[in-house]
Amino acid sequence: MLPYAPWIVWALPIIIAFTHPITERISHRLRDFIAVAAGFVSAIFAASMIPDIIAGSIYLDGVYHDIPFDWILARWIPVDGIEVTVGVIVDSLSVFMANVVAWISSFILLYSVEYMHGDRGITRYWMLMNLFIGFMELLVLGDSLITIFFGWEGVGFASYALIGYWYTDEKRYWIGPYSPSHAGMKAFITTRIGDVGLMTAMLIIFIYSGTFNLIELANNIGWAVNLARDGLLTITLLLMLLGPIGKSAQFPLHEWLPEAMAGPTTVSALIHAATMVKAGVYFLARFTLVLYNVAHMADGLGPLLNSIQEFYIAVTFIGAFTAFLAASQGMVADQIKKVLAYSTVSQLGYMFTAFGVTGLLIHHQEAFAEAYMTGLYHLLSHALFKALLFLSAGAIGHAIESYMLKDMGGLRKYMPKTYLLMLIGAFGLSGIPPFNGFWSKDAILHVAFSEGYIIVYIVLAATAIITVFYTFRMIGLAFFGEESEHVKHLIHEGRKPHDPGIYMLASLYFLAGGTILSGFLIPNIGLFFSRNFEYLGISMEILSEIPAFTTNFFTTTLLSPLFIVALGIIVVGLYPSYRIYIKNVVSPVEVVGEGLLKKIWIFLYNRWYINAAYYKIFVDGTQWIADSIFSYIECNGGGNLLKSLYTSLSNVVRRVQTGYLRVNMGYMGLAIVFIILYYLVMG
Amino acid sequence: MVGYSLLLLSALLIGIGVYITIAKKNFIRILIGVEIIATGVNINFIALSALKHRVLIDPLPHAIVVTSIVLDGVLVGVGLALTLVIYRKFGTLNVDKIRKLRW
Repeated sequence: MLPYAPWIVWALPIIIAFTHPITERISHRLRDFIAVAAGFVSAIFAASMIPDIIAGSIYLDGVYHDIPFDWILARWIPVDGIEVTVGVIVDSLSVFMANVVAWISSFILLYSVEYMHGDRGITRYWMLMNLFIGFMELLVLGDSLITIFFGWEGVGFASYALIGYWYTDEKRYWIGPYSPSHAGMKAFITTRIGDVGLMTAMLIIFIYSGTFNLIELANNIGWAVNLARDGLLTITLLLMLLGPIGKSAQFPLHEWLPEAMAGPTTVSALIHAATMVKAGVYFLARFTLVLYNVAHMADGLGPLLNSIQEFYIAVTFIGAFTAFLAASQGMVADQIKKVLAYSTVSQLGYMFTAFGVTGLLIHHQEAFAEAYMTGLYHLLSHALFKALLFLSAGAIGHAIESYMLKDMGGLRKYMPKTYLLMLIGAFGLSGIPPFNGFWSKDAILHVAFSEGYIIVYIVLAATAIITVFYTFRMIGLAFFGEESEHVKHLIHEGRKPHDPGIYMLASLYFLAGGTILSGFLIPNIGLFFSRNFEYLGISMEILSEIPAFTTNFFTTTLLSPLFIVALGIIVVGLYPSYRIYIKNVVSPVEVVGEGLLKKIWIFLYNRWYINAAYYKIFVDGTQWIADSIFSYIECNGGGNLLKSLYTSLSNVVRRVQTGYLRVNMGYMGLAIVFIILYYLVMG
Repeated sequence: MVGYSLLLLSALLIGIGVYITIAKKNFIRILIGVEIIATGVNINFIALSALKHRVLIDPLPHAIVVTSIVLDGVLVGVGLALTLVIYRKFGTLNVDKIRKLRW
């Protein structure tokens, strides 16, 4: 480990963020270089922690520390009885996440150099990007709920500012009826609702435990026992779940993510692949480790175990439902980035389901370890292929200056490299073997099926079919078929769409390589996590019998009967989109027709009317309250009363102001006399 | 007893100053009154230190009063400049005629 690696990983991008206004004065190239270099240096520091985790201990100041290692550097809020420390936690989970975040975001930064070139306000862009990454690293490395919350809010702020990056709201940046600044505000407010729940739960836990530290929470389970005794554990856990739901855009707080596309595409990629939405999943993974300890130390306490069970049932169903909900909307989206946004919500639903199932298996060590890893595999796969897809979409947008699917078509001829790279991403997303999405998605389905959660399995399998369909619909609409009017117009003007330059391609190649290869790293990642599982009491002997932790993983996956189902899913999803969008045998308008399908189409296009309902209730409702307060209290009622009161009062009082200097001096003299008299009388 | 006599002197000066500011109409005279009040206050400061230590030995109030006297000079400068501006604007220095700040 490089010295102070876990600190530098998050501190460096945050510090560098504030140097951009200075370096900008020297040279724009220097500023861009420093911004990107900060990302890569931070990533190298993150990578330097991997060997220590594999070795199983961390050498610091002459002492070997066990993993998980809670590295406390300073006291932060020392109030009597309460102590909040500044610390980082170094274990398999945090190092894994730190590397995923750091490397993917570094390549997104590299991509930005070309993509954002010439945009005004780019210093602000670099500042916010570096801040975004730094806060995300703080979130994944923080050792206490407070530290995590600090990063959590920082990420929330940076995402707000970056979604609304084009705050002048030119019409071409709008997503549907929403301007970028509106979209940023929507994201901020929606996630804030979740954060209120998270903060409440944090404080309740603090009242019961007296600590925010995650390791102490895992080791002293008195708080959970007492909460369960008072009947508050379920509600506390559910409040806590609101935070991840908001951040990871799960139902019912999922509506902000599609609008989050209003920012630059690099920002979308960062939000979707590495930062922001992964925060909720990470938090769930982190807290699952705590709850595992709690459940095992409190064996036999019925209400406590029931509460944990209820919590994970909620996670499972929210995840599975969201996966289906968002995927169904992705089928009809009209913007390439929106398709990807819906697919992110859907894939996050898969991860939530994986962790929900994990929590339900908390008493079966083997199944717990297996299910836990599936969620993280999918997190890694999704981070890679979604960053690739978004950045390819950005390359298209860069070339044709539009993100509407109807403005594309026939781009395969003009952008062959982008086409191939995006196809790799699409293979990952739709889970076509041997790309990474197949292994991780199949692992989730496999766990759900083999542990007997058949309903979950069916929902997820149906979602997988839809996923394949909309992925290839997107590819077909963008790269196949006739050129659209827009593309023809561009060619006519002499601005033929072309592949991006070296910076953008380099990032795309890296991510494509990751999408192809990361699936084969699954057993290694499983072993990487063995440190955390050993700490939980799941020994290596148990782990080595689980296929997901050995190279048997690939053969068992391919030989299981579920592989046939997985192939079936791909065929069923691929066939219609191949015929409709790639070969153009039948036109989509004919398929939809005028009957029931049209009604479903309208229902899906309007996002199940959830968005409209939210606007009706919350936005219009707040507006209505504000209007009534304005017209009845401010203007006609209280306002007038106050006005007349002050008018009559001032009519009396202002007679004191005569304008004669001598009168004012007389008042002063009188005041002196009174003061002297007062002291003479009072002594 | 030097303290008490000084205290009396300062009270007298402040009283005279306040009387001038109330009774006189000419702005320059009022300025003189203000200066007399300032002098009274300075003497008051010395007087209180003398009362505390019985004799005039504490250097701190003296130092502060010297500063204050310097600032009084500045005050006169600003006051005269204001006088000039007021005369240019209103054509008179009679404060009874300058009543823009009334209700």
